[in-house]
Amino acid sequence: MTLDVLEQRLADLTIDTPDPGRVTARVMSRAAIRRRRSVPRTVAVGGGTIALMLAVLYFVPAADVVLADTPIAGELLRDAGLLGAGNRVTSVGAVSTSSGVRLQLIGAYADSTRTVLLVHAEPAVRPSGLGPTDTVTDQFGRSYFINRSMSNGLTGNIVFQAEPLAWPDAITGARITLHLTGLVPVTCTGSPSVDPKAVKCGEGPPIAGSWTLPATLGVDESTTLALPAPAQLGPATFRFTSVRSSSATIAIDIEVKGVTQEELSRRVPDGKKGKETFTIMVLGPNGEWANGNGPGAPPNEQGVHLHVYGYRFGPGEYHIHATYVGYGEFDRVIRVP
Amino acid sequence: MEVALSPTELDTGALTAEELCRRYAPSVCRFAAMIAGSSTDADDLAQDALLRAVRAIRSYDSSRGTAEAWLWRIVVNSARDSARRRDRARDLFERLAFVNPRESESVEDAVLARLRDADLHAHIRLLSHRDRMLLALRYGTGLETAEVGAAVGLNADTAGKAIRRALGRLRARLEVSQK
Repeated sequence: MTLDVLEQRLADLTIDTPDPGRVTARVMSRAAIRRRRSVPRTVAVGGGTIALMLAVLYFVPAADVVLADTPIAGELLRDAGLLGAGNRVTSVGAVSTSSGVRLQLIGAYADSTRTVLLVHAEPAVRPSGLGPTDTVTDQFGRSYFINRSMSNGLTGNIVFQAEPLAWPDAITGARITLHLTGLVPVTCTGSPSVDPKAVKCGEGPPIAGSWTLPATLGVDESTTLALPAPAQLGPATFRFTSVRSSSATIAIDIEVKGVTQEELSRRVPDGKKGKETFTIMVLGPNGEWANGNGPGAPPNEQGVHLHVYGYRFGPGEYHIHATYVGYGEFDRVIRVP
Repeated sequence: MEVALSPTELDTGALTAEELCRRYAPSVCRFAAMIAGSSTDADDLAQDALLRAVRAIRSYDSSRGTAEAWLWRIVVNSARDSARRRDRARDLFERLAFVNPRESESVEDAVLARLRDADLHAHIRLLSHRDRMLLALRYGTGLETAEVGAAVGLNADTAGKAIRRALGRLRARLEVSQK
């Protein structure tokens, strides 16, 4: 059954909605309130006050956070997609040495989409596979999956990117710990500024060890932005359900109807790994590539929901460009304050 | 990678408050914005509905239906309670001011072509609470007709007819406003 004009307008209606993140934070906060009092009021109030003071001292690390006074190298911020949030990156400085490798946690950043840790290694190394023992944990003992790391064999800089911190870290701030158990030495020669293709890198044998780097940081708030108009590519209808931006990240949620996840992830054989049939890109105000998910790859789709995130370089018009082989492409503009 | 939960994961019975909010808060917020009379009311409704769901999460039984259907029943009940508290007098007026739907596609097309989203939203807000709820569930959150029916306690056929009548009343309002 096709939608008539009015139905389509209703489905595409752009309206100001409450901020889901803020509503969630309030809901979780209120849901945590005990409803029944099982001890006398005086005892409860006294005990509660002491508990609250202790809780504040331990669970509100944001109170200790000092934002970076020392500028972090622009190159490292660019690699991490944090150019738009340079003054929101928390300066850390924690050091851990094991098996002859010294790691220094230079900075950390978190928003509702990702948690980013900036590390400098001496000598240069890369993570060894990021197994289950390589984790980011918070003050509540919860583990966050490290989904991405980028190592620079010339500078020794490593960017780790993990899942976003869970509630209530967004309210209280977080005391997190990066723990690594395996690294691989990397030796690179050449200069990318002279000839990027001439840079050659070699790797040494894996090094087992234990590196623990703590950090305290706040969580950057995000702003809800206006939803772009829906789009149709062949049988697939793309409806934007949420667009948010923090100082470093643009998070875009898209609901897809008319196709399955398998159809969207299908690859056209090309003699190698196969070419993706569906790609989506985030482009910055100057047309620069701003994908946080990977170069043009369909993001982590679950069912028929796409979660795309891009790097925010600053305010301006960002473009979401999607291509579906055989059905065409669409371009939508997001105005980021 | 950012984890977006699939319906399968939600329907295992191991539903947590965090998962519930992460998965459904955007839809609930859009639903609330579409049916509430103001942004403040929308904020309150979204919070109240999600809070009820979170507090009732232990009562969710995956053997009795999907988490989505369970959640939308709670959201609809919250919306009804909210309407009873805030809009009792206005709802009565809306029923008295009932306008019979007309069928005139060409007029409708002409009207819609000139209508901004904000104006269309304003017209939706003038509908009865029940009509707003049906349209918000069907078009605001993208539920299928049967799912809308499950949320409001109607079978699929009846829900479909109710949605069409709500659309008809909205069309009639749009046409009247242009005269």
